[in-house]
Amino acid sequence: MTSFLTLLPQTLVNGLTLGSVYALIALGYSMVYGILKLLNFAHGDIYMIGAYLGYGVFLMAFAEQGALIPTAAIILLMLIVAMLGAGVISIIVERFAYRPLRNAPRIAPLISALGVSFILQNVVQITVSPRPLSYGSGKLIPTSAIFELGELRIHASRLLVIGITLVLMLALTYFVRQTRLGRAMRAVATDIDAAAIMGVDVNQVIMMTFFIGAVLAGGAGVLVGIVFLSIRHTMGFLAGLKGFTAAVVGGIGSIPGAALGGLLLGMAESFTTVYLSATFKDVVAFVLLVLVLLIRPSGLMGKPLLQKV
Amino acid sequence: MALLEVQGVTLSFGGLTAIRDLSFAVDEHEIVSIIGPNGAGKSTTLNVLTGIYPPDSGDILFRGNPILGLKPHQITALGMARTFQTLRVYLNMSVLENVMSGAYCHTRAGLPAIIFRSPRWRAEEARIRALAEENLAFFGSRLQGYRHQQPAYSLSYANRRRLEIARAMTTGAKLLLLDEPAAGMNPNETAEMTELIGKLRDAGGFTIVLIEHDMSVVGGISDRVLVLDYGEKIAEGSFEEVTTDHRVIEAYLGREGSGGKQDEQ
Amino acid sequence: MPADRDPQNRDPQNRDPQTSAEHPGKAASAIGTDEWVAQVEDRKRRRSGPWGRLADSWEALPATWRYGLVVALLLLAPLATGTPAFLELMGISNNAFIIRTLTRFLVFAMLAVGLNVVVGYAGLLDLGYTAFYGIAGYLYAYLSSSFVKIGGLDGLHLPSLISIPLIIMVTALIGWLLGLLSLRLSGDYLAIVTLGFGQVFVQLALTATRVKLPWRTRPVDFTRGPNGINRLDDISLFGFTLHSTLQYYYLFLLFLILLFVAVHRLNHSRIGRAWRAIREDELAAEVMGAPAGRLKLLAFAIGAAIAALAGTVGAAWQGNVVPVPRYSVLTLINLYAMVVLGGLGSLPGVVLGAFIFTVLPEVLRSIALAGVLFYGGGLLGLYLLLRPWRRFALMLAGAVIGGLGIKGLAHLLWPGLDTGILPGSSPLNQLVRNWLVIPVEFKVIGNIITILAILLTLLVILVRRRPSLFYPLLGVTIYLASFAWETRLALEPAATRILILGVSLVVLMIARPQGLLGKAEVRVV
Repeated sequence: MTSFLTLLPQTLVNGLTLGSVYALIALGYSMVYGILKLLNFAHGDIYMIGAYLGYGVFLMAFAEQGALIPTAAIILLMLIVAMLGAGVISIIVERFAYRPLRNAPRIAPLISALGVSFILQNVVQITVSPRPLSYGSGKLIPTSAIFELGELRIHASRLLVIGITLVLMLALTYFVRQTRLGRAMRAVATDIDAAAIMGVDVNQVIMMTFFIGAVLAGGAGVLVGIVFLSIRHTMGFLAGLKGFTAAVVGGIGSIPGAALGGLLLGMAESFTTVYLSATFKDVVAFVLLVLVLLIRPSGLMGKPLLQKV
Repeated sequence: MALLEVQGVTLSFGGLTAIRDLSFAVDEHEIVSIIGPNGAGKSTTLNVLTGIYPPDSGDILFRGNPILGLKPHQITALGMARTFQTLRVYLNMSVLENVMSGAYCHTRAGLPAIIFRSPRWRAEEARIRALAEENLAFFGSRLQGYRHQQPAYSLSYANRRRLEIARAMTTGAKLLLLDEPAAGMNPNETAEMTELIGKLRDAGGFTIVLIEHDMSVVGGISDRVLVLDYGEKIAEGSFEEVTTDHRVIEAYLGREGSGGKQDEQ
Repeated sequence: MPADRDPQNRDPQNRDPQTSAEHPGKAASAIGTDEWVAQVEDRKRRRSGPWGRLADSWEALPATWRYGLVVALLLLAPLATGTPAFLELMGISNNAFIIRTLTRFLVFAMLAVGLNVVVGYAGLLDLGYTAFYGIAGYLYAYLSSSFVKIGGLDGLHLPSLISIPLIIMVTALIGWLLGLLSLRLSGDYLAIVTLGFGQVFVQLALTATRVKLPWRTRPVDFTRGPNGINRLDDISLFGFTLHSTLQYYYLFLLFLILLFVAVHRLNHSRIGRAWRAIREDELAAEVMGAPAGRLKLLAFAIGAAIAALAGTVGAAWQGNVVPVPRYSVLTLINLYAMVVLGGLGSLPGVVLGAFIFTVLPEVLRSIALAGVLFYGGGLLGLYLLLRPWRRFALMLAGAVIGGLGIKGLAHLLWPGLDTGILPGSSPLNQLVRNWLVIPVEFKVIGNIITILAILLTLLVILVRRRPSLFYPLLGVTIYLASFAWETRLALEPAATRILILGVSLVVLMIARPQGLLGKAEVRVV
């Protein structure tokens, strides 16, 4: 029992960190599915691109002797470049690979997304490197930057992840609830044709949705690099899968749902790794998914689809 | 014994009561029409009858047997089939296949019979095909010949409606529930549809429950008319009785409306 | 119908004979809506040009002849590719590799047929399909090899006639159980759950090497991890044991033919109709008397059973089971690509898709041949974009001249620049080398140009209606694309193959979402 308790705080922090990453990825999936009913298999690779863009900034910010600008500035720059870059790429992908398929049979955009995933992964593999890239331990954030809250010892990087995720999700909630564009997004998600008739520029809204989702995922990619200190071109697949699982668990189409799902998944993984065995953490994700869907087929906070008979 | 008996059926969606204490009966070979303003609960009634929505309370008896809680395909197997207001034919299947697919519930070929094409399979398949062709022939020569192999999406709107009825006929049903079969049709097609419904009863032996807005159809063919408004039955009787009932007129035209027969042409 | 009841004369069959007699010309030109639509379909299908004529004469053959021809080709392929003339033409010493590739094609064709039942007919998006393939493989490893050592036995060596049907039934049951999930979950949710199922299977296969069972002191290794289980028994039927790949090839061909016929018959029966009805409109199908739940379970079970057949015999042929990449999501994606490329819902289509996807990558292995395909495909694409051929020739000439001009300029101003050496010495390589400027250190700039070329291609697509921008950009893109190919893409064949696969998938879905032999679907939007 004591070992359970001693390990608990760390497990919780890890779960929160993982959960934040999954939540950010899940949000993009959830939003895009909400308006287009599209499973964007390439979303995980957008997250990967964000990670690589952030790494690029990191490389450029360090000369022989060390950092050229303060760490906070580097991280901010990494985030901005990665998020904007991921957003732009996501818009390009939507314009060329998904928009022509708006009225095609359901499986067409799925396969197209698969193709995009291949393209993104392999362009990165060819033009950057097939091997993992490392941040070097302690280079960006010193290993000694640990905060202590009583028994709990949290490294600054994890605090950063959790903090930035919170900020981003608050910003997103404000945006969706209070701004005109956010309202338009909700309208399109509810009924795309009615929204179009009401004067909403559907193409623009869809573009914005992809952009925002990608911004979040790109940010997640950078944060993951900062915490785990290593990125590779295949990181998108598993993370994307987990992110999508989180979105489904929380209720696809629901923003708080995505956050909740991400958190649940992160915690489940963390607890399984610490208290059971790391080999089972993917199994746990699947079991969680099946259980939740069996009890609530639309996810924890999802709204069931009604069809007119 | 009535073919269909509905007793005190109530159905609510959340706070909205779609059907309230609905009771009526349909005898064999009758044509009963259900009319009422939009949102009165007519299609919902069909959905309850066919097992898509379980009602909150009440009973439904088909041929004297309670059918509450049965799955839609089981109810169809018992002899009740329907068409849809929004027209739900299988667009990417051929005309003939659409109709043949209705025969599933009274066919029995299993995997071995199908894979080895046993004589029993051949006989059954021929029977299904003949039944489908016969039901398509019901509609004159417009769904005949080369049309059988055409995909359903190549049919005109009116022909798709006829196709849907042919498919429902092929289920071997005794009771057909037709949900606005004349919707979207021009006057010629509507008149033809009215004749057709009569022919379904006279030559086909079907019992028909009909939801319609077009009063020329309702008046031209119904034995009895039920009027629903806000989920409640407000009138029942012959077409003349019902259309002169002041409650019905109010329901359609509102309190300030004038009297007179409904005549939507 | 008298003329006044049918003023637009929309039903030719119901024409009033009086009208026809009085106005024969009028009656002849009047045509019903449905008939017009049918004729339009026919006109669209009649293709032009030599390829079109070939396609038309192919379709004119009765179905049995067409299938017979294909079967005959497959039967003779091992012999035909073994003749000295063929071997010399291909520059290879024997056709063992070809037979192996064809045998792999047959395994995938079986899988594609099974997947077609689940996704193509019943419309159930099962993204964990390869798990059945894998489960069956591992079960075969348990039952027909030296792996299972209990009670002093050196492995169960069940005869194939027992193990294979048994495994098929067990896997079908697992498929049925997974199908139970499909009853509660709609399309996309089902997809993600089945994907998770497939992932879990691979994970377990990789990691279930130290499982603690309560009745055993030492942990049990269920799967031998990433290395998998090997030395599986060969298939033995009626006393005859298969040894060579050639024997397996003919056995698989027989299985594929039997499967094909069985699934074809299934499709043209009440069950196939019911499946397709469910796929079109599940609620309507249910209301028309088809028990949707039972039928979906049946589809899952049959799909799993077919995957199990492929899994057992495939494992026996390969002699081993390895989790990755054979049963991984990469195989699943390849399988889906095969099925979608060939045409969902079309049996010959998915087999064709399997063929293209197993044979084509092998053809693409040599850099020289890949180069031919890249430039050939690129030129073809350019031609299709710039018809008539005059425009195409002009563009090509412009690109060539422009490139040579750049080369001349580079030699003039930076003499040491164009001295990079490219691998590959085919005539094509020489030609391109003489056209492009390749610096000595070309890797980094090659990477940048690759990304630039991709972005420019997209830009060209965007500005295709503005000639002033379109042509110059297209010329630059041609140059950069060739540069990117020679300096980077051709030198990373594995990644480039997948990259091209990705591009092909996107283009295919935009151009022809129904695949090669599929039927275009119509949906009410």
